Amino acid sequence: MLFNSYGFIFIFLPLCFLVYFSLSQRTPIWLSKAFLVCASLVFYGFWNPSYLPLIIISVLSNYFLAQQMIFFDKDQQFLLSKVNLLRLGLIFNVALLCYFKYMDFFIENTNMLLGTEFSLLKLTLPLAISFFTLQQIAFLVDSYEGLVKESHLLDYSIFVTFFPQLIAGPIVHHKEMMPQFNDVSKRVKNYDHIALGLYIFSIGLFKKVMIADQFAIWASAGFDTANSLGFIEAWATSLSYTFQLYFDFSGYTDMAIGSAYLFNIKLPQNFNSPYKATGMIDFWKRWHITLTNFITTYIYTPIIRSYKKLNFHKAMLATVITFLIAGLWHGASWMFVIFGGLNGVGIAVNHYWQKKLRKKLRKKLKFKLNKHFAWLITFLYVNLTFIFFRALNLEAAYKVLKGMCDVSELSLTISLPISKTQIAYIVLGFLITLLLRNTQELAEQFAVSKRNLIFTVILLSLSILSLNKISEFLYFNF
Amino acid sequence: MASKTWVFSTLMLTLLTICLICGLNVLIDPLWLFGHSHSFNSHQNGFNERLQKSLYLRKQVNTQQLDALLFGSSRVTYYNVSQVKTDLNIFNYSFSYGVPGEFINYLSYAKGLKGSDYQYIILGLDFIGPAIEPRISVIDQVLDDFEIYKKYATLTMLKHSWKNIKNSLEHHAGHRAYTRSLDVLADQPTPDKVLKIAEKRIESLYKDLTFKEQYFEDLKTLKRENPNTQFIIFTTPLSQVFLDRIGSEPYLKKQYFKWLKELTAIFNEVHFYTHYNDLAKNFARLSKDGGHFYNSVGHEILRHLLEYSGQVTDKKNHKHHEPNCLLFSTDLEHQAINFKRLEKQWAHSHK
Repeated sequence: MLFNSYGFIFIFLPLCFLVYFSLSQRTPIWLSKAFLVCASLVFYGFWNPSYLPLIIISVLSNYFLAQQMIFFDKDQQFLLSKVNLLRLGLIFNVALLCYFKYMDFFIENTNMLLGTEFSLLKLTLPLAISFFTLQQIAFLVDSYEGLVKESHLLDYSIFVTFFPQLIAGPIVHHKEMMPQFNDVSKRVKNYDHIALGLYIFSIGLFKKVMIADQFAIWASAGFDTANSLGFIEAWATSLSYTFQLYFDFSGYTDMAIGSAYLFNIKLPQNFNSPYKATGMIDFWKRWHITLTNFITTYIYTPIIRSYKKLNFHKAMLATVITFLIAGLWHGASWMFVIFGGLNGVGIAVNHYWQKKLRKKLRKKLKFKLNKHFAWLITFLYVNLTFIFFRALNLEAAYKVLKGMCDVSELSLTISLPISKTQIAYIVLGFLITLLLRNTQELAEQFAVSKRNLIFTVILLSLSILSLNKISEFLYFNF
Repeated sequence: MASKTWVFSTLMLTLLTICLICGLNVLIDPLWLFGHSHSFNSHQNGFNERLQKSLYLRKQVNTQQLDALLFGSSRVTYYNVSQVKTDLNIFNYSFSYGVPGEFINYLSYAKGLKGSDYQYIILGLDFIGPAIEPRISVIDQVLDDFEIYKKYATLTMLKHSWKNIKNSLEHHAGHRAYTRSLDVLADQPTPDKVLKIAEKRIESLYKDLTFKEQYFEDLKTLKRENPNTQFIIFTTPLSQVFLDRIGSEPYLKKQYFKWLKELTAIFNEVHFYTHYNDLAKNFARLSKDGGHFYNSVGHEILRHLLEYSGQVTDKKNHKHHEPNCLLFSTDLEHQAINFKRLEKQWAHSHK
């Protein structure tokens, strides 16, 4: 089910809210939790019911393995040691992900390299598999390290399946989620939270429906339809996608955070004005924050730990490897690997600049990098990496990049090859992302005022009245 | 303000805004779902005639009583069937860029609504028809009531409603506007302007045309799938400037004769209006742009076709002969005479 659909807004969410709080106030806590798990599975299965068994098996298996590790007793002889339980869990999760997400990619590349003709499985990618697998890997690792004391199946199931964050994050950590579901004070309706949730949800819906979906038309036309692109068209195409991705994904996150607030659950922030970043390190601290935290803790740190002696170059190598994996996590395509690689290299260069070059240049040449120039370099580089993220293949990426470099066409252009609306939207995209406060900042200053009421009503009305062209969220593909 | 008040006010005001917009859209009814008529919706924009006419047929027409359907492109939309005195109950189901490949689907849909065959199908065919790609059918949308009514809760529909209100209050028909009974209204540009528009349209319409054989296959399918229906075929008139262009380009001229021959072969009888007749010569007065002729012309064409089929009730102005029409039939001798006549017209016009 999509957040930007009539079914979710007018039926699923209100019904879920009413039943949950009715149960919370009148029945034992387990019943309201069980209801929330069932509702989340309905939300998940609405898309493709055939993958419901997959998520259920994944949840049960991971819970079982985690329980074995939490209550592992050295003195008792068990079939597997604690570390082997963890290995088994990791293999199970990675195998699941590999089979459903990467099998055809692997077969295609094998066929290409070895000249074999293995037929493709052509499996439909189970929705949200990348997200719920990551969350469960984190839980397994923490269970192994003794960071999880105790958990019940229902708590664990809600943590994984809670519908606002199930499909595309934010990637939540059990430490920040499970205590919230057990907090008695959160079992009653809280109108402060409901108001805030509505406010955040309306901003997210507006971002998705009114802004991202409009950019999507131009991005698709440039990336997928056009045979060649001139200078202005190519820049407009790449910028359209850069803005589409931000408004789409951050819009989804806002709706997730807003929906969760209705149930008194606070989800972590995922975006913090990423296009204001003045360096690639800064960018990844602002973009998909929960993914950055996950890969830092569960990929980068273990790689670093595996080195006997750590130095700057090894740390940078670990960064690039981490981002290559993160790139591949997004999808089974070399384009995502390139995207990851470019970001890894960007961060490594940024570190090199911070640790080595900046001081030298300041001392010797008294050179200081202008903040605005730093922003410009960062934004252009991010925009470049997103071309590989969006393009279906190298040819499509080359088409856009070639157009962006083809200055010769600029002088010949008498009339603009793109519409005034597209230009207006791109300018608006810059203004919103660079000058305005982001949703989190707005939420922090939220008060139940007439101004906010009118603002929310306008955003909600306009968005709901534009739901005629319902579209998927970009991160549903990952 | 208390949070509870804020939440309920927000929800109520949002709901109210949506309901108001829905209400306005229902009142103006741009999708032609309801029959109400008033001064705010008297001029309706045909923004998606496929969808609107299919919905009109489903929601507002007693298809059991329909005898005939008139199919064609935008050129035929201007023909107001309600003004022709006939016992036949005809529905004008023509739409922009309508081609036989699409008529197959829409006829099948209309037959489904009626539950039986139609007595007559009148086909108005354009010279450029074989070069036009059929569009995606809207029938699935039409049959999905939830999707259709949902459209009234959208800003897109509000834009159409707003345009209809403006045009209705200003009595502005523009290129063409529909009344609530689906008669077409059209503003008439001055003859000078029509000439200019026609010359401009030639460049955009006749540039890089590729005529496809599928067009004729679709016509054959249409005929084959409706053995109990009588087909009345006519070709739409064209202005002199358009005909001149066809005559000046060998590829177009070759296609012109091929089109005519194929139509005659498929349907045995074709009422041919696409030649140098009085309509072509007086196009500046009779058409909007050299291709779209007003209802007065359409009325004469329909009258002639129905009279020919013995279906005209008003016999006062009975005409035995229609000078603007050449009747092509399988009678080879007659066909040869008509072809000679056409060749003569071409030769005369290019002197």
